[in-house]
Amino acid sequence: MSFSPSSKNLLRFAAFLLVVFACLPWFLSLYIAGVLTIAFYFSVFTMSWDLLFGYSGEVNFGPTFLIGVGAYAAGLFNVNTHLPVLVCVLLGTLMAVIAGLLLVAPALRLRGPYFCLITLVSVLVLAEFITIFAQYTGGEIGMTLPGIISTSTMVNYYLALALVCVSAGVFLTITSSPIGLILQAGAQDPVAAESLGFGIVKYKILAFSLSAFFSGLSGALLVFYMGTASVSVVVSVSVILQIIIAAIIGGRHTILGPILGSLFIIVTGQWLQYLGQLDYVAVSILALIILLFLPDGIAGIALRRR
Amino acid sequence: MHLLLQILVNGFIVSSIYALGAMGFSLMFGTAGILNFAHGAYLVLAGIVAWFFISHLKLPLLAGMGIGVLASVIFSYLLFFLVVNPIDKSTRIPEGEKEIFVLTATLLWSMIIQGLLDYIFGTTPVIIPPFAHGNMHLFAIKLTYNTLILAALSLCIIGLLWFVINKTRAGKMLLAASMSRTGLAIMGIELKRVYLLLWGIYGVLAGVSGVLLCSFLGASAEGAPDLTGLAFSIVVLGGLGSITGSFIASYIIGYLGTITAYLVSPSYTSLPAFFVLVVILLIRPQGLFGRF
Amino acid sequence: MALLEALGLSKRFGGIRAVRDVHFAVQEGEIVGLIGPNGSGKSTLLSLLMGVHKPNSGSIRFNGREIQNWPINKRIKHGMAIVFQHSRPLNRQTVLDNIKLALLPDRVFNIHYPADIEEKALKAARRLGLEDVVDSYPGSLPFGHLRRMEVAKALALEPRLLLLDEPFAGLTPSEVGELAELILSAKTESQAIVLVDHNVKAVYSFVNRIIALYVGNKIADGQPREVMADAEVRRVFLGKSMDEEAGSLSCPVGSSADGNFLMDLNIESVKYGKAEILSDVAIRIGEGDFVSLVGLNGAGKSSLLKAITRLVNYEGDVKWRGVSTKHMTTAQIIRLGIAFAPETKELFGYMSVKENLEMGGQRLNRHELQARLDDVYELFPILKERTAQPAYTLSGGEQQMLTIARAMMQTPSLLILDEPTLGLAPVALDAISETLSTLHGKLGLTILLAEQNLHFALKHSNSIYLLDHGSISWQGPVESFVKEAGHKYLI
Repeated sequence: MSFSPSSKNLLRFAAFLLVVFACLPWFLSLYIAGVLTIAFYFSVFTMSWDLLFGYSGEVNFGPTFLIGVGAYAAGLFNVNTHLPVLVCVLLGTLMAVIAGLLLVAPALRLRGPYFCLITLVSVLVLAEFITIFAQYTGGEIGMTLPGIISTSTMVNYYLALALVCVSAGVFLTITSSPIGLILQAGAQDPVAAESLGFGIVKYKILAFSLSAFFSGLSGALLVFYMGTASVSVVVSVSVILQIIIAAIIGGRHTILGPILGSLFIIVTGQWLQYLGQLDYVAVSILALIILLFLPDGIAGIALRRR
Repeated sequence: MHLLLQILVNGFIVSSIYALGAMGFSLMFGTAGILNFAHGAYLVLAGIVAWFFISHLKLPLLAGMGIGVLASVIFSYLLFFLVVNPIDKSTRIPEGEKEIFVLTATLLWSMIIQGLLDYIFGTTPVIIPPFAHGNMHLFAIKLTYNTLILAALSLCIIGLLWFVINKTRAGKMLLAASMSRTGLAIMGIELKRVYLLLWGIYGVLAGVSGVLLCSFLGASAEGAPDLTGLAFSIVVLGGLGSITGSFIASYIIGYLGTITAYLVSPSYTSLPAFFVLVVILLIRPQGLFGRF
Repeated sequence: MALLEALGLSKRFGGIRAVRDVHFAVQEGEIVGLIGPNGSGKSTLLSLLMGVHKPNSGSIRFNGREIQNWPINKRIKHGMAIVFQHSRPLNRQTVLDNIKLALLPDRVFNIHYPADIEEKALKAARRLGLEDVVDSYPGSLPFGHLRRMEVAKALALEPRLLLLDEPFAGLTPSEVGELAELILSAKTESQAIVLVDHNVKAVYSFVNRIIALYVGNKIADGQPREVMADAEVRRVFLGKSMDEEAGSLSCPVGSSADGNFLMDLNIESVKYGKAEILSDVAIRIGEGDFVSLVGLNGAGKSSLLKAITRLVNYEGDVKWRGVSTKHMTTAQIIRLGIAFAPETKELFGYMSVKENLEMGGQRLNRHELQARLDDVYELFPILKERTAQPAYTLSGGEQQMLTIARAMMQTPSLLILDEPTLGLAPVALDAISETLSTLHGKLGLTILLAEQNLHFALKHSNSIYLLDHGSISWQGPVESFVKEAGHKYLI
């Protein structure tokens, strides 16, 4: 692999983060470790989003479609069969990839705003389905999952951290490989990329599949950690916004930036809880301001080469 | 037979109300290139504000509705001045990404409006009291007077819209802007003026659609994303950029929803619209009359 | 057997026949240049070769295989390479990485870079003189280097045929020379090149063979010297013979003699991204003048007019009646009394002729509007006939009339016209000519005209500015033009 200066920076940054997070739980309360665990799962959502947006130039306005399918499918298998938890998780992940490829991926070959539209609508459709089949899915209230991965806070923390590392590793490998270069060329100027001999749709589908795989996986693991699968956590529009905002605040086109953004969002979400219903409003307003004035995000600014 | 007529009438009314909003949405896209993800929020905002002034402050119906529309117009201009225009003029955001930023910003805006509505007015769905009580019989079906009035109002306003767009100077400016922005500039017309007009008209259309909808079916902040999704389906089916297309597609989508509501179940109303959207995107993305 | 053969190629866009039954062949190792005035079909022809468009009829044979229906990437895989005029580099990647992109195979599971890619990329960079900047980012490079990078990418593919779309556009004369030399030395003996460019001089010294096109037809094909001496080719670029009728329809120079200018412009620079399109252009227009900007396409005439009307940004100033317009918007400048009929017409296609005219008369009240409409219909009777038709259904000539008529609705003090004769048949051309005579001669309107058709420009003007590569290479009264500058115009 060839490394340009900024990706060397990226690696150093990643290593630093890893060390910090590996050591943290020994210094923090269980409660905070729990919050961080959720933040880690959330980070996988946002990194997956950045792979599509920052590198393939496709905006996914419905990442929670993939997350939701992964989560609910895993949950349903768990509730209705005697399969071990990890098998359910894998099945859920598989379902997310299949659903994504069937419903959403075909829009990747169209130019124009169609991909965005279909991704948002796919989430609305999923939400409808969950409500309609409430007897199986628990509808608005959610579905309690009997299965559990571990009761230990530490185990859950390190499991989530491990997932972040694996997914970050895969994404970074892809983005610093020839595939990443071709994706970016296709995002910026599809005709020019074709004039170099590349059929770019297949690369976008690869990126999408990876995004679907990790989103689904993380979604499934998350609901087992929390013990319930509900629309408000893995499907709703507000979650979509949080993902997008976290990715932008953290820094688009960096893969690692979104991790920071996720931490920021989840942690401030905890703080702002006392505002009650206004916490979404506050975060949205904050996000709008950042969108307008600091569009490169934290990592974007930190990693900028000069 | 009875059922069929009921579907025919109700479908017509709901479609006409949707058409108003969808045409505004389409105008926004055709003239400024913006897909307003907060569209549903505007509909709901107008409806709930109107309901509040009518039911709590005891204002007369039309006055309350007027205030609802006003709220929509105000927020429409707020979105333009605080969000869309700054992004457009921003030097920090690369040109190629501005569209995406605007889309994301409108989604955020939607959240802000929904959150505020929930906080101030609560989460229970509300419905505006009818214009008139009582009903009449037409061809053996029972029609409430309110329903008739709503239907009449929608059609009047659609007619008014058609008149404004095609016959007035202001309306023609908007049409012209969607055909050639440079052309407009070389006629000595400031684009800023056109945008002010556009956002104002959008606010009015979404507002009227919203209050009428609230009178017919009710409104709640949770329903906003679904309404936005419905507008997408209508506009994509009609063809992005075609106002006539949106008009016709509203009736198709409206009827599909009504038929589903009556024959299957009311909670499935928005599903057919979404399926139509997915299918259209797969087989004929430019819709019926699309220019893109 | 020829490397590339085009047989009976035709391409239509709606009612416009861009390429009509064109035949030609390119041998291995040849360098062929396609030239022609705007609207001649040369760019469309190249796009057919590239695969950006598919022909309506005819075929293209490459290495003996029929490729006219192949997608772009398939043509690339079989030995073609393309350099587009407006390529955007990957700004977050170094020059070397940009070149590596060209060397990557089209395989989805490309996890590792091929071992020799670094070496190959460096070699490609060296061939185009880029070895010093391989680790720089495109954002820091001058425009000429960016163009070289694109050519390096294409040549890295080791193609049998290289297609270049306006390779010299936006380059300074010395950059043009450098690029030409570099391409010639980087190209192998068996590699063939086909290029399209407006810079006829550069093409002339670069190629083995020239093919000239006009209104979609091939009108000449042969050695550069023969083609440029060909009477029809010269006529097509210059209009009729230059000597006849120069200044015959113009009026004596007006108030420019006493120093009160209507418009006084001093444009220091206009840039599109990195490319410098105009530099140091100073023009003065007096009341009653008919000033023409002439020059080949790509010289910068349109850009100059767009700068005056603030449709593009510029450095410098444009003064109207002594007042600076630098900080005004396009609409404000128009409202000063300057009407603009752009090359792209910008008509409101789905609106009727009458509605288009009414848009021009926006600021008038109902009576004034009607009076104005009557005047304009008198000037342009054909529009009166078509008053209710949607603008896009009009013929080319009628659309041009409408563009000018719409501008006249504003009762301007200055009318600016950008290439009004483009793509028009002789009859329509005469009609426009008459109209301009009336406007200038009878009504005393001040006119600024940009025209490729030299004959047309010379007939009407009283003063000429010759634009060449973004600067003025000659200016003066029309009578002196033929004597002093005529030879500079073409070859």
